[in-house]
Amino acid sequence: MTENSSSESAESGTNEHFLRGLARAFAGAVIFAFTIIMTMEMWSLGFSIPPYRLIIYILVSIPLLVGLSRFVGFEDTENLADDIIDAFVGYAVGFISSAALMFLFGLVDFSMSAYEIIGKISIQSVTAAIGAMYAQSELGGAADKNGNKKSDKKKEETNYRGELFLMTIGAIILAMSPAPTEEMYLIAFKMSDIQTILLVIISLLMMHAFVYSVGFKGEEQEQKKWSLWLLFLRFTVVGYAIALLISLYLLWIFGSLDGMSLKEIIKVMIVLGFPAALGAAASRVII
Amino acid sequence: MSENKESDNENKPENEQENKSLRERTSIYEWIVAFIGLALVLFSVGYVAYDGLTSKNTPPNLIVNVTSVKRLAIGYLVQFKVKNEGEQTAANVVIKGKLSKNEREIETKTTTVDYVASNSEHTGGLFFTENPEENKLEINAVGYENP
Repeated sequence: MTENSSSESAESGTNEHFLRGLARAFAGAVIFAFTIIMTMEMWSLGFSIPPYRLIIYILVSIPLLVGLSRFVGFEDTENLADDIIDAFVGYAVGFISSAALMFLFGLVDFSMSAYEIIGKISIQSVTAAIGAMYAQSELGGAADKNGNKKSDKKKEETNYRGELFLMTIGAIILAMSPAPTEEMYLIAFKMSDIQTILLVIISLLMMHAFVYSVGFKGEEQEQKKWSLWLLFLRFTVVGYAIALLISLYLLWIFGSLDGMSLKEIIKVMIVLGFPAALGAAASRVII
Repeated sequence: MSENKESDNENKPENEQENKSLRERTSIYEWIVAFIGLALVLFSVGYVAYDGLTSKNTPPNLIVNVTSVKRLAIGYLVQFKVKNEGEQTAANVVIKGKLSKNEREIETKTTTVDYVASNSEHTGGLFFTENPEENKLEINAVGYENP
């Protein structure tokens, strides 16, 4: 009898905890997604994007969300099954909040074909879903019983591979909203070759300033063994490479590279690589 | 590289939740929302794939119909609806309305519609000074560009 009631109260506690997390997740989804929902290029992308790219974009987002759940997320996850459940909860929140906002803004209505509606919503849902997961670390301050912020605990456990993953997420978060805009290639066209090279150098220096100051895992103990240059190679250069790849991926998905020459593609990649590099380097701070 | 891993798997904090099964520590609502998420992913990917595979990718086929003609304080407003029956999206669609009397053109007005996606509709209007109902009105899409 007593056992029964205690398990019931434990269950309702779990439910309440989840529902509170869910409300936070919706807030995070909206905060993250509103900038791109209010970006004109994203509206037409919903139907002009080739189907295979949209499918890749949705499918790639799932392992990203699972990984994100490892570090932040709805529940204090300890295993892969929990993370997968979390990822789908995040996707559901992302999809529902983008759909609601797009209908509210009149960007989606039933005079449109089903493909257009699904495409427009899906392309926003990925960003919103990342926001939903992220809200758990940022807005929540979800503290465990010992009063430690959960994400802090997770960060302590992060190893080099995890660090690179966090950089990837950071790069995606900051590069996502400028990626579909026309401004990216307009800036690339306006920049001379020398300015482009300067931008690469500035991006790297800026990243290194973050890497050096924002206490990456084991920095203190490693500083003795690893020189500044090795830190630069391990985190800054690798992080910048990640930022450029993320930049290239997002530009390709959003169709900004179609019909461009290789040199133009590289220039646009470097331009979007700037916010991506910022996001990667600041991932420790923002996630 | 090996020194990074040393402390990762050791001092995991004692967690109450680890003692519960997945079913116990996952709220019923969480299961429901997670399944909605799974369903949305499968549905979106499935629909997009189905549409992509079955689409014949026919070029834009723009059909313009007059929906209403209104008399204004000065002139007339002809409202139209443009529907794209092709599979490709048409951007910057130019709509041209022509009034003619006895085979002679008396007034021509154009407007541009941002885009009309496949199997979707867009509405707009053209302003005329002559009465479209007393003259012959032809309205159609003149051209478009690929988005």
